Amino acid sequence: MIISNKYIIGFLVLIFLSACTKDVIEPLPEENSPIFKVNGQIDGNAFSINAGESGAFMNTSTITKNNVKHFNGSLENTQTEFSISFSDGMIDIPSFNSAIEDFETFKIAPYTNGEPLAIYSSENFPNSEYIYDLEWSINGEVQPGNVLKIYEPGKFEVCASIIYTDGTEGVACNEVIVGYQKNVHSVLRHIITQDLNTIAYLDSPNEPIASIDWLINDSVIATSSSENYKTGYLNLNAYRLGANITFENGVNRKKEIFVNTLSPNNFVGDFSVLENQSTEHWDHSATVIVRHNQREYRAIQNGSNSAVITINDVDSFNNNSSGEQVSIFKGTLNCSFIDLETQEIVDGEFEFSFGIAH
Amino acid sequence: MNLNDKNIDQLFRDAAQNSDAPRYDHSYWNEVNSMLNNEDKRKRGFLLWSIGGSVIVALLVSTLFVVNNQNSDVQLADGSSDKSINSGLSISEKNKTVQAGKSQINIDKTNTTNNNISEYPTPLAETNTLIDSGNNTPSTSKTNKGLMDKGSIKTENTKQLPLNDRAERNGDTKENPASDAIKKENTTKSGLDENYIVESLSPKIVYLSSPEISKELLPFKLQNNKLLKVYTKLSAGLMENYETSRPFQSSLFDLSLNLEFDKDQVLFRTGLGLQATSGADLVVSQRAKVFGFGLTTYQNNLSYQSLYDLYIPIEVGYSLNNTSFGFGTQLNYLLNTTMNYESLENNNVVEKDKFKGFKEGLNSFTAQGYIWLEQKISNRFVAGIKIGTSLNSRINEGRYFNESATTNPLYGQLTLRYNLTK
Repeated sequence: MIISNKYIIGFLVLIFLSACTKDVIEPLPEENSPIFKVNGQIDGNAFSINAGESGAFMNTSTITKNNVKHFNGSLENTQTEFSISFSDGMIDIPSFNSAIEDFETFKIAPYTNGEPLAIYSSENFPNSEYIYDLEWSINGEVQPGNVLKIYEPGKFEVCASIIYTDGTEGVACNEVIVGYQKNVHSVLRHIITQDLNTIAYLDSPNEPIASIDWLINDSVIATSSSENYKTGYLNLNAYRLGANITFENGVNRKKEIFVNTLSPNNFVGDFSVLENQSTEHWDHSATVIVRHNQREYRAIQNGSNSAVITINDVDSFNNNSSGEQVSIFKGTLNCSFIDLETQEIVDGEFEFSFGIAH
Repeated sequence: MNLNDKNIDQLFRDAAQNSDAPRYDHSYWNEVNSMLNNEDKRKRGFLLWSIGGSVIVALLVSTLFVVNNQNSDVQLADGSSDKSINSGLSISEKNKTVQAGKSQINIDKTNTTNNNISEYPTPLAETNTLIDSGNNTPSTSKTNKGLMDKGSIKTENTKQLPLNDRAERNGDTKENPASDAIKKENTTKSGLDENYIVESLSPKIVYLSSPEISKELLPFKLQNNKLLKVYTKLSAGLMENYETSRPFQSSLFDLSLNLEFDKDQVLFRTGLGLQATSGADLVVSQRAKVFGFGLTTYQNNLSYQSLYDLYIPIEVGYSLNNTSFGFGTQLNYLLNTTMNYESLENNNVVEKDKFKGFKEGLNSFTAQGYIWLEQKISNRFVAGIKIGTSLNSRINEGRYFNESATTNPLYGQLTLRYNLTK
């Protein structure tokens, strides 16, 4: 039996032709279990939500509200929500870096229950008897009425436009920090001399001043050294006198007054001092909202004002869709909650692995 | 010496009368059945096919046996058939004395005695003895009366005796002219064509003239007696589509180089082949659920379009006349593929590509089972049909999952075999 070699060779060629090199497919990522999750109970009802299950999603963001940065996370679906918002602190110190991932505890934010944190009215001015009308604006928005009530903590630019009884007008804008710690207390004051010159100075600072930029109608006219906290003699009739003050502890404050040398009583004083009406501080606090069984709860301080979120571990996770770094905060919370509808106080206890953008 | 037609006619008539009537032999079915039973019963799909195949094989065997037996009976009982054979024999000047085996009648390949005989005429009995390499029994000598009953016609029960013994027993036929004629033909044909075997389920006819003529006239088949044959086979057909399970959407092409062993008409085949499956749409997928801010589902779909296998076929069959049938399996080794790649994130396609040579998600080794039927067209070409299915899934269920409608598609092929050896 003789078989021509051409058959065998041809067959082998077919086999070799059918063998080709391989390409590479990118492997799929490793599967895992839910990363962001909250389990616990509130008012005796079990609570559980896991990102990626039952449509739950971990939303994270950093927002600036009332000129204060907030580090937020919200794990929610249509039925359930657990959200945490860590508030920035030391907001009068611009250079302060709130590395929230380094915090071991966050106190539960104060709950005002609708009470204003600050109230501004003509009565607060020492020359209120000369005020005919007063208009307030916050962050450029005119507020209705003569009385300004601030309900939320934050740093605001509040302007007072006053019409005096003699028909003259005066306006001044001040930086007002409500609900946050102020690291320096000081008041901008002025003196009108008999020859109608004006001297402005910073009264009672409890921290050393690094420098002061003096402004007239928003234009810097002088910079004072630490040895000289007052202006020179200013020979002007009616003007806005501002001071950008930098303290040695890093605090930066902007204050402004209105001076009318021709009508010395028609002035607008430094009303930023009214910011201290509230003693509650939201610095580095946590606002916790729980929505469950069609009820919405908010974590509140108990009697001893010691309710805190305890952070056991923080791991860097990833960037969110906005490019912000998100860390996984693992911790516990055991405190009182208030039903925001019924004002009923209930207990809640949670263990969480939560995403917070920062 | 002229051949006496009457005597030859008598010879066949006697042979027909004194031989066992052709009967259905259960051993053949038992043999096929035992081979079927030895297949892997754990394969559910194959079991179904085995049952179906067995039924078909049984029908084929029964039909062919019945047809074959009827033909044999008619030809052996009918004087005209004998005549036709006889006439065939008479045409030839080169008679051969052949031996009837169990199912074959082998041409005597006796030693050089034939040559001696051709030069020195001897009595018939002695001639028969010399050319008989089969079995010869005393009973045969007693029952076979007449011209050609002295060893030239063999039955299953014949036993071979020593030369001198057989010479003695056949002494009464020494003067038989037909025997002389046979002897003469044998002696004049020192170069008997030894390449032929006479096949028959009924071991009746032992006397042949020209092989070519006899093939046309005899009720049984002459075939090449080479036990080993080499042939190539080209198969082409259609297959169920993996993804849709719809027939005729995929095609299957085979090219193989095969060996065939023929043992008493039972065929054993093996070889080496290449199989190309096109339009397979064999989709395997890999999915990963990754929790993060939410759940992101990543999925890779690998849609294999073409599959190229190197395979070893193993076939068992049975040959009847120009028809053969049987069942087989082939062990495949996946050599190469073409594949359409699709990457999805949350069911949105993010990437598409085409790859070659990938085997991800597929088993490298697979097996197919099939039944086959072939019909000889010529000495070179054999046409056939093959129907089968996969015995095991091509899909490796480990890292990948299958969303195909079927994992063991049915296929059918037409085959064309070309014998490389004559």
